[in-house]
Amino acid sequence: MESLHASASANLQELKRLYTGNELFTFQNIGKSNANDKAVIIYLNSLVDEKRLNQFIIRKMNMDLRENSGPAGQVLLDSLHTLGDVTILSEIKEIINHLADANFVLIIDGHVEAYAMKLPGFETRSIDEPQVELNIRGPREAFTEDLQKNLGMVLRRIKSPQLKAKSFVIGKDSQTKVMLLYLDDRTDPKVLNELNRRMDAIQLDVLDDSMQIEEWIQDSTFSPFPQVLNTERPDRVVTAMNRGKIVIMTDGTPCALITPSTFFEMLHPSEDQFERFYFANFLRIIRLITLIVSLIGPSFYIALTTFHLEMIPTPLLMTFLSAKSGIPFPTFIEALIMEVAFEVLREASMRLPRIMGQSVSIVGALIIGEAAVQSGIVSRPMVIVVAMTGIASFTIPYYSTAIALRLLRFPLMFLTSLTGMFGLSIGMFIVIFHVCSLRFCGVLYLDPIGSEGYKDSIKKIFLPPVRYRARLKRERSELDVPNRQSHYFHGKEWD
Amino acid sequence: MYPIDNLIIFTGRNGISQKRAVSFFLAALCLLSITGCSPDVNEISDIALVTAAAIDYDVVTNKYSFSAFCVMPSNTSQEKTSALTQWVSSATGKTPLDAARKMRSRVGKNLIFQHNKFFIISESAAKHSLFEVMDYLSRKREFRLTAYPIIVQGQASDKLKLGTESGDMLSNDLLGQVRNNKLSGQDVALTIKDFVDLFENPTRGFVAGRIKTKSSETNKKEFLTVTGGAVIYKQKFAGWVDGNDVLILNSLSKKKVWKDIEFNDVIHSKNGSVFSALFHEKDLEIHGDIQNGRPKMSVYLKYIASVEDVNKDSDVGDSRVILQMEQAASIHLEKKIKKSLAFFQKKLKIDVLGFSDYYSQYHSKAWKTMQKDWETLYPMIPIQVHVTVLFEKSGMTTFIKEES
Amino acid sequence: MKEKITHFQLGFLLFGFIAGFESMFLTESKLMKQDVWIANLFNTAAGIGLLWIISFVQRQFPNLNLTEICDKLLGRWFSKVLLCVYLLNNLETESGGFRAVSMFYTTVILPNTSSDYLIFLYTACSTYAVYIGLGTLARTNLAILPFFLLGFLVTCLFIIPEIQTNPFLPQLKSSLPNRVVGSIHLFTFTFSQVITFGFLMSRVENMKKIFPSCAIAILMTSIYLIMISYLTLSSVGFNYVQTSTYPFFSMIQMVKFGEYLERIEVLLVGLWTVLTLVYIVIMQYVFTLVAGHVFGISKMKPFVVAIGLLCFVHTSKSYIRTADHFTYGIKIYPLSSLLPCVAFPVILLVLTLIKRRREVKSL
Repeated sequence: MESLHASASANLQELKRLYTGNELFTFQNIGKSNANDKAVIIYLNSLVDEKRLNQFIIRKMNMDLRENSGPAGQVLLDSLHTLGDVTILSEIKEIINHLADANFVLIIDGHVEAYAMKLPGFETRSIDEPQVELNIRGPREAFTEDLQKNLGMVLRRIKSPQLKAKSFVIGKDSQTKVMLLYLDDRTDPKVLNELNRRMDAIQLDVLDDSMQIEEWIQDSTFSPFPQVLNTERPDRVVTAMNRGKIVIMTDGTPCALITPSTFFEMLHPSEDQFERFYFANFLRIIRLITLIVSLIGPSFYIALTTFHLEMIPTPLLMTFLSAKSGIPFPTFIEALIMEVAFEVLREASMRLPRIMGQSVSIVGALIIGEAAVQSGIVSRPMVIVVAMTGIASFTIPYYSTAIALRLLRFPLMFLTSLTGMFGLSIGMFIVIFHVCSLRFCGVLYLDPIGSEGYKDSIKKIFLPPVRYRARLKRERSELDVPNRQSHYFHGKEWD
Repeated sequence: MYPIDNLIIFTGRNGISQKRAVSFFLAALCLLSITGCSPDVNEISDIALVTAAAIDYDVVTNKYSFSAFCVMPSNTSQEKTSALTQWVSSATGKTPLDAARKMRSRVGKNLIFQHNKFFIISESAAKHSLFEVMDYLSRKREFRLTAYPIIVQGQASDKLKLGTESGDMLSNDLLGQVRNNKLSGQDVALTIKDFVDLFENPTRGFVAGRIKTKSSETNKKEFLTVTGGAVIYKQKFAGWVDGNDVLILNSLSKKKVWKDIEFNDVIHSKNGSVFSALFHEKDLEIHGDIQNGRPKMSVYLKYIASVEDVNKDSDVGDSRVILQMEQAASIHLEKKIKKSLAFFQKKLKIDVLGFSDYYSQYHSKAWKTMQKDWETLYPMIPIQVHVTVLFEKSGMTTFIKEES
Repeated sequence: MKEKITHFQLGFLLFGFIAGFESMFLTESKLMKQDVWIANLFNTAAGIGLLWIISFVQRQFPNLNLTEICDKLLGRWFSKVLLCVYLLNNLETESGGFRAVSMFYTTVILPNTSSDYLIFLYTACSTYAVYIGLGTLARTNLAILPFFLLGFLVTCLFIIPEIQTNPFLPQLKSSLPNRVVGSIHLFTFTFSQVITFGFLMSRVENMKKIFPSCAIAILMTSIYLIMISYLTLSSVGFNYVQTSTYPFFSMIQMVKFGEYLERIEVLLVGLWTVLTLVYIVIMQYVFTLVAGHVFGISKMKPFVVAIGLLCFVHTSKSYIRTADHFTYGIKIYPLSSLLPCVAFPVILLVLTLIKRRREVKSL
């Protein structure tokens, strides 16, 4: 990239050429505009606080220029140094980056350097309550789109010098700032190195959301399961870092990514930490049950009612008989209709404004629940099954996991409608097998299963009282994630 | 694909790659295209449940007839009440299967036997071709292993057409009767599984359930009652057993059979008082010995009982009175058991209690010699019966003064 | 480099491998009835012996896998011949496994479905699993076993009220030929396949612990087998076991919760299907491994699919009648598996010992 000219006007010309067509590009001359000691301040209008710039900074500079003798350039520079933190730039590219980052840049004739100072003037959202990860007890602040505010929220909670932060700039055009946060004494260096490498390898033009980072750093692109946990809660980030996780925070996204995450962590909300442990574990068991229900609910119903009638108790089967008579569709089609209708309804009520969303869901529930049954399109038991499955999937707090389960429901239904319990069991085998095969940076996705030590496994699935919860050892050699070959998979199965 | 892929470690991308994803979707498409084609699907809307079945055999024509009591809903799902249509359909054929297939093909619905709990087998079928019938019933998983095969006097298929006293469905009524066996202990609830297991045993016979028609005490109609038993020996029907003998048979069987049974009896005490009591078996021990190459058995039974009514004034709170009652009761029960045993040994001459199993398990050496002439040995086995009765409860009134 | 597994996982794989497949037929209970424990004891002893031989040989060459050890001990060509014999046996066993599942389903649960179709679904599933690899399989097995054990526990608890006789009396009354055939039959269908696990031992991290953990697995499996034999014989009855094609299945048909929820056998059969899949995946995995070595395949990925196809074709052409399958299982298989499963490890042991002695002498 080109370095700067000594002549300010040449630099200005160059910048003007680069910013042709961008009306936000603004420049102001400082002092007398004679050719020898020309100085220009350049900034992007609306990114920079123009009012402060004009009323305070430029005024101060002009004053200093009038009061002091000596070369105008040096005076201006001294004056700028008294005003704040100055970055020295030597290339056009750097100037562009700093302009985009809410800096104003001072170019002085005769200097081959430019001077930038941050003066952000754009508005950001104030800190709000969490919108997605609601809780009853525990902190109630959520991340915003502003990285600085988010970092503040996290750093306020950990005061250890072990907290490390590494920044990346991702996106060729967007130049988005991304921070990697971790506690140095608890993080597995192997995972950290690998993650660093993956972060470096990201090739994007514009980074809109942390989702893009997630896609780039995950291991299996085509798996339906989310492999990176995202959260909008700073307290969850802190808990995760305390467990040796690495947190990725992206500017412009109110979500932090937590890596490496396991399936069981995605199954439980952070609120579990703040409940009495009996109740928290009760909830965890409930969620394990609803996990199974939401995955195989309709398939199981299909298997029972079309293949394995003997398993339904006789009185119940009599009820089913009368409920199902006159329904024109096979059970499988019926289930498919209801499932799709349910998904449509869910999607509709989610996208609408909150007040309207509620009315849509009420209308939809009425239509699906009553009208469909009344008109003989679907049977009552099917409505119950689909509703149960839907409600069960809502108990899984992490949206992406719930989506994965919802998607997998459909192939399982197909398989079951073909061969009953046989299809269901081999379908489940494939699902379990796939989940077991997933890894993130070598760390198992289904973590406690397959790693050694049943005590630790139980601690990872269930929640002991706070004083017995797993504390990571301080020594890096005795890290919780042991340095075992089977734990890290380095090669391919078949080459 | 990714630049990091050429790094040495962590390249084990263990999940789904692009190629695999494509093949996965292709496979999913194939699966989609063949859904609903499974030939084993029974759509609930097309089925009718069989809740009881009857098998007849005609000795003259050598033909079987198979009847089924079917149930299907008569309303559509819009209505909230669930009335059921019930009917009996039947067909005849050369084998049980033939008859059953014919019947199934004639019915407009898909008949489901999985919930059938009763197979009523006619006397003639039991006498002449029980083996074929049981073979058919045990070969298919369609028929519950826990269904009850029950033998009936005379024709079996017309029994299905009889109504029930309560107006409930036939099978529910029969099931209720089997369940209520714990009140009297007078019937045998033998499942197909036990039937087949005992069926194959050459040395012993066994007792299966029996159904009788009984006219109601309130109106003229006839109804079915499950009571007494039918003796099966050497894969053939061999005779009937009375309810009282069945009670003793049940008492001397495995614990599983008698643990819930509580029967009542009227007892005449020596001092002239008559009282009735409820008996519940507590413990049973059967000992077998061999003396001079001949088997000898003794049976120890323990009952707990409660006094239910007494004909004249006596203080049941008094332990002497209770002791007398206990003695009277045990003598009465011993007599009763001996009478039934005599019936099994002397009259029936079939080892329905499974003494042969006992000897083959616990005296296997001696059993080898005994096995050949078990049929002659069995009626001669001397059996000692010891009954102890314990009156635990005597009710809420202990003593009523009779007006003199 | 391939993914390693722990000795722990290998032990559980062994348990899942045998517990799932063997429990359905219980042929030895039919043959030996009350003396079935003899077969189990013999089986345990023979299994542990075989395990000791193979793990001993493996420990002498910690950096080689069993195929390479064969090459080293037997010379290239002789080892190829022996491995081919093993491959044949493996293929037979595997097809037998596939056929057992499809036959079970078509006789009992899905009478109208084509067995080829079921076999196809099953092979597709197992080929996918082989493709992903051993480490994942070991973990999947760990994830499935709790469900299986739960199902087994439920079966036990609810079948205990059905127990009618003491099935281990009268003792020692079965005939000697039946005892021998029953024991050998049980052995060939269960622990003789420890040889298959021999090919996986080089993938275990801590080789010293293979023997104890697998021996424990063998003991646990034996306990499991004795338990199900006991439950089946005592609750179903000798004569019924004798006539029944699938005695264990008849037994689980009687599990009921009160009067209302009966016949939950399909759930247990679902679990059994999955564990049998584990059995088949291991067989197919080892087959792929050994065949790749014997035929010197360099591109393994397409080869995995080819092996899957081979298994499908071979299965759909063999043991078409139920009777064939049973005759084969009782008459031919116990003999045909002696060479690859018993003689083969013994040869390896002898050669290893000779080699060791020579090395000691030369020092």
